Amino acid sequence: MITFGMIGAGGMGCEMVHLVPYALKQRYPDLQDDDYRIVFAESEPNKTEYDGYPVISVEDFIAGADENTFFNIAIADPYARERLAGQLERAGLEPLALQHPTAEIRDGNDIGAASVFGFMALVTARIKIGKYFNCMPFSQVAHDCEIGDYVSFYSRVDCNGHIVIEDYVTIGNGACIRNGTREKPLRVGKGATIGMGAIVTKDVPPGATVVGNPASVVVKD
Amino acid sequence: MITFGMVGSGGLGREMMYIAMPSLLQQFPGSTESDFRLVWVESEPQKSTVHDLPVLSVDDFIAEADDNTCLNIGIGDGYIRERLANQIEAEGIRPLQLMHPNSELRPGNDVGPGATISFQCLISTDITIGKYFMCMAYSMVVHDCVIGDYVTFATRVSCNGHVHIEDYVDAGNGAMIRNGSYEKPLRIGKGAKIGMGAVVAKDVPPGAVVVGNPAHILET
Amino acid sequence: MITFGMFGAGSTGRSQMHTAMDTLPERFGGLIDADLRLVFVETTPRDKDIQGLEVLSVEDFMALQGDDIYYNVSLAGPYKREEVADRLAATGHRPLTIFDTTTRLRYPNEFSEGALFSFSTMVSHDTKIGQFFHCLSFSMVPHNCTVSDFVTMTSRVNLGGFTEVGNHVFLGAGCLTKPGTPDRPLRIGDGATIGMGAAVLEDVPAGATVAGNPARILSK
Repeated sequence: MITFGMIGAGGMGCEMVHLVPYALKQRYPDLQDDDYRIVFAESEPNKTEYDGYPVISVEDFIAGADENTFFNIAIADPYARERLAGQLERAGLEPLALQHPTAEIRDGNDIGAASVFGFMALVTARIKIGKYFNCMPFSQVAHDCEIGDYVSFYSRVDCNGHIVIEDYVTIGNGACIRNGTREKPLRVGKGATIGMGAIVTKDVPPGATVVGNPASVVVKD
Repeated sequence: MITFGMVGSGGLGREMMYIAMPSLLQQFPGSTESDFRLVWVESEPQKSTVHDLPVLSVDDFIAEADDNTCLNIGIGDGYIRERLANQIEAEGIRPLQLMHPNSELRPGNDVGPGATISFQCLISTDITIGKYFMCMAYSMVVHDCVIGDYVTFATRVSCNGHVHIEDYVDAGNGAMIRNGSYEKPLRIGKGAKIGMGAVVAKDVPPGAVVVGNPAHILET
Repeated sequence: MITFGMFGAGSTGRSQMHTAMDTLPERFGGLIDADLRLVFVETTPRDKDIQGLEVLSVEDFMALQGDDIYYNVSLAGPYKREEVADRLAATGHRPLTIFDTTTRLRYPNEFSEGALFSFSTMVSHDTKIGQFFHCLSFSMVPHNCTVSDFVTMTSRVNLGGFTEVGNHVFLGAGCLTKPGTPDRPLRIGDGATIGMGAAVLEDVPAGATVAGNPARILSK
């Protein structure tokens, strides 16, 4: 029996859970529906059931895990995602990358563990992405980009060419980042937040929040 | 053996080359991948291969071409695209339309030669498009539009209905153009540039650069 | 014999009728051409046929006899759509939702009748959708939303999760809304209009028109 734990029993988890059978069947080509089960896990569960699946504590999930147990993390906050990833990986569990069949993640890219690519996502050429990258529907990463760890793209994000996105960045729905150049990539600093619909035309300082068209800083650490 | 040359091996060319093989297979029914030879073409080649495919100079590409050679141009600048198109087509080499299999180009449209239609695009109905239209991922052109020659749409451009876009217009990532009407189409003038994320609600004069929501002319 | 009448032969009507042609035969268990009759319906028909299909007046469509007569209404304006839908409801004919072949639906959701879904659209989970909903190209209804009756999502609309959309709301192309929370959903009041490219960060009062990023009320 293969067990998949979706960490985070919320809206995002509910969306991501649909990707799980595709990932399991890629890994185990002869997998039948009753060979696997899916559970949600939360640090402190406040319900026992969600979206038709049981909800258990992360502790119980870890305690019950064996070599056929996998997980991914449906939590948008990059720091929370890192914390939980660390907890689960230290307990010896393996994350499983998830990808919608309509997403196009082309060959020749270097993508870290536990990535999630939603409906119609697109990753083109010469791209390096770190671990636990969460890419929601219709978002794209264009050529020659470098993306760090625990980065979250909401839906319809346009990360154009020659852009460096550092760790823990969150990019809101519909945001667009102008391309950099090979000589001078555009940089989005560590922990920055890019607001919904923002049109980013220049570097974003670490920790800053930018909004608007053109995007300007509203909060700086 | 059919030779397909992608003119331009920069970021855009490399993205578009991905859809060369599916497009060739679709346009030459009964063919297999081994029937095609893919090459890059550059005015001044910097390397001899890119992604394991050979890079030829424009002169060599022309010199080696036969009746089964075709091309497309992966360069964003419409004026450069025109210059190269004229240079190469003068030697009898035909353009090939590239289209991603998950895009939709509905029947009944009139699309000129050399179009490049990328991932998940929609070209709807009753549309006329000129030569070498470049349409990047997730873009759409809705009904009753007339698009000129060498027009470039970046990713996620929305061109609504009854819009007339003249030659060499460049629309940036995420730009949106409001629909015109049958009586009064919305016009984007020759060579205009529409900035990233601009929301265009009225005519744009030739050569103007517009940005913002609502879009206004950028004074330089 | 299954009859499907599309009220309105504008761009949405024509586009969705193409989709009807592609999808209805299979939906009705493998119909052959002779068993499916597709017609456009207009208040005052100007042409005898559109896209090769007959055009009937509203009166003639309403007067058709039979058990398997379906319809949809392609008018974008929420109030006009309701007016026509109410008129057609007086017959025994039934509304029919048209899904595009590229539409992705999650579950569980509750759908009412008469929706239109266009290219590359998606509906997430735990969402309730009212009558005669329009979800046009590239739009997405996320999780835990309540969409009331006669709501129009034009193209590329991205609502956030936990949003409540009132009756007759018009969501302009490319608009975005900030997600609500389970305790406090984001609310868009009845009859509101959200402008093209607007980024809505807070509740929108009934009847208001908002535009811009961040969205501001233009008029009430």
